[in-house]
Formats: sequence, structure tokens, C-alpha cells
Amino acid sequence: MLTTNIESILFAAAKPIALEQLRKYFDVSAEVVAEAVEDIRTRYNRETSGIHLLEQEGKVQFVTNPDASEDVASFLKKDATSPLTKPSLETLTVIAYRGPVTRPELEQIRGVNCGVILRNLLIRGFIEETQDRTRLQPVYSVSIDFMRKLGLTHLEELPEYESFHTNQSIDELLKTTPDESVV
Amino acid sequence: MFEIESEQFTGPLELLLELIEAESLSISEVSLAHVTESYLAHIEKNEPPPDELADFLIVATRLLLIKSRLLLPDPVVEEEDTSDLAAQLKMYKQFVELSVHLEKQFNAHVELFPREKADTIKILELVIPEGVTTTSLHESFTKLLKNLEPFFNLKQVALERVVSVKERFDEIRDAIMQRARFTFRDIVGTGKSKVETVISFLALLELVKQRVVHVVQGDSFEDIEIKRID
Repeated sequence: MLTTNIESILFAAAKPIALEQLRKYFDVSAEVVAEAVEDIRTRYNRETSGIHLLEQEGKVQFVTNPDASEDVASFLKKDATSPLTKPSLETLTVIAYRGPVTRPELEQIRGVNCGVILRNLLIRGFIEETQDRTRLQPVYSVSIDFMRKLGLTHLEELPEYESFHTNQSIDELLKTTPDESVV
Repeated sequence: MFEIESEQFTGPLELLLELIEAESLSISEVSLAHVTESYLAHIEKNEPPPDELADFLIVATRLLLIKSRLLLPDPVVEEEDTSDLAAQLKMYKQFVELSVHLEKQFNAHVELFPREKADTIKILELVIPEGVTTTSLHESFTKLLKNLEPFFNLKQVALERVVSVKERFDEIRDAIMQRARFTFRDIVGTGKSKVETVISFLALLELVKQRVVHVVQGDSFEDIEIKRID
């Protein structure tokens, strides 16, 4: 029942829904919601299904099958996004693989002040900024819209995602990050 | 020393990487010390944008520190921080390599589309405000028309004036075609209204603009002499 109702809500909502919101609404544990979502994903994310479930940063949304992309785009007359500039691409790569990441961490990896590029990416809706309560500073992660542009339903589909997302030597290096941002 | 084209780098690390790779070296303190001079030469020749200059200079100082440590037999500088640059550059390189995946993925244009929100706002129920009757609707529409009246009148006047200027324009042009020269007073005559005079003047200005006539006025308030431009 719960799984069915969550599935119906996701279909009707037509926007990303936070798992936390579902948990509160149904008054169940996070595990129960995760289980229901996993069940939905298993049923939908397969070649023969026209609808797939996209998940990013605790939010889920129904989207089209990646293989149908070309036809959907041309039928609905959607324009393709212009290519990314080198700094954008570099920054998005770090945020996609390491997100949620803080600005000092990002600057430690790129070796350059990232204020302007972060603002641009926020404006374009490619990344999202949230407050991290334990780190006491904003953290950045790629947005659901950017995931859609990449054609990914989960960041784990990125090559070598796991090895870079949880990488001990990178963690070590980032620990040496000064608390204040570069410059 | 290797020459790097004067291209804009996304940051000091990219420049360093480029310099090291141009000489087919692996990333180490020795190779960093080796490219220090090329690095300094490059940022001197192609000054980085002001907001990134500091980042380029920080890396420059770290390079100099590494180089001096390798040159001096008894280093007095603290151990930490110097070896970081090599590690940091290696990490940067990994992400540059990863960005190839992301770029490929992005440029494949395999976009996933969500369900679109309806364009129109759905009205669930038709709610008619209290006191609305056919009479009150008629009354308010009459009132609205009355309020708009001054606006319509204005338009009418403006329209008339445009027609008049156009007419007067034709009149003066026909006149000037027959007589090579005459004065403004000839057109206006005597005892005509102020509006008439203004319209004649506007028509005359239009003729001047279109280079049909040439006008000369000796002094303020004197008559204007109008000549045909042949």
C-alpha cells in the first residue's frame, strides 16, 4: 500500500519530492521509505519501462527512459543545452564526484578561487547550495536538473564514482584544507 | 625551457599540469622545481585575470619554496606544506581525467525529461463574488467606458492633427513646385488660429527634413524664407 501510494504521489507531483517529506507524511521510518523507493526503482528502471526513477541528494522524481531521450526531445521540441565551458566542467566534475562538497574543499582541488563559478552554476540551476549543520558552512551538490541533462538516474552510474566519492587519499588531502577559503 | 601557447588557463594547477606534461615528466617535487621558471615566465607574459592572480602567485611562491629546498643542502624551512603541491596536483589531475566522463555524458544529449507542469492554473470551482448581477455588470462596464472617454478623445485629436500635417505638407509641397520661393507668412496668411500655424510649421519642418525645401530666417520672429531645393 505504502509503495503504491508513494508511487502515485511521485507520478502526480511532477516535481522532485524529498524522501524526508514522504517519511514525515506517512509517519514511518527513513528505512521504510527507502525500501519503498527501492521497490519502485527496481520495477521502473529497466529497458522496457518508459518511465525511470531519478534520485539525487534525498530527492526522487519520475523521468523518461534515457534511451527514449532523442524522440522525447524532438517530439516535445526541446532544445539541447549549449556545451559546458572548461571551468564549469571541472567544477561540476568535482561537485558530482565529491558532493556535497564545501567551497574550501572545491578550491583545494581546483587550486583557484571558485566564488564566481559557483554563483554561475547556481544561477543556471546546475548545482544546489544547502547548509551543512555539522560543517557549519554551505555545501554544494549537483541538482536533479543537471542529472537529467547528464541522463543519469543516479550518480553511481558515473564511471569510477565509488572510488572517487569515498577516496581515502583525497579525504586526507582535503583535511589539510584551511578553514577559510582561498583568498 | 618549454614554451606554452598563450592560452587562458582555468587555474594555476592546470598551467602546472600542462608544463609538466609538455616535458613528459611525472608529478613530483623534482619536476615541479624543474618547471618553476617556465611557470613564472608564463604568468609574467600572460597575466592571469585579476581575480585569479592571487591564486597563481600562491602557487608561484610554493614552487619557489620547493625549488629552494632542493637547491639548499640544509633546508631551514618547515617540512609540511612543500610536498603538498605535488599531491594536490596529482589529485587535480585525477579530477581533470574524470571530467572527460562528465563531458562525454553531457554532450551525448541523453536528457531525461520529467513530467511537465500544466501551463494553465486549474480552477477547481467557479466562485462568483457576492452581489454580482447582470445589472451590476452592465453598470460597471458603462462606468469603465466613461473612465476611458478622455483617453479616446485624446486619440481622436492626435489623429486629426496627423491628418492635418499630412494635408498641409502636400499643400506646401505643391505650392513650392509651382513657385520656386515664398515665405512662411504666405502659407499662414493672416488671422488663422494658433493650431493652424503650428501645423504649418510642422509640415514645413517635415519638408526640410525630406530635403524638399531650404529655409532661411534672418532673425528671431522674422519671416521665414522658403526655397525649393532642385
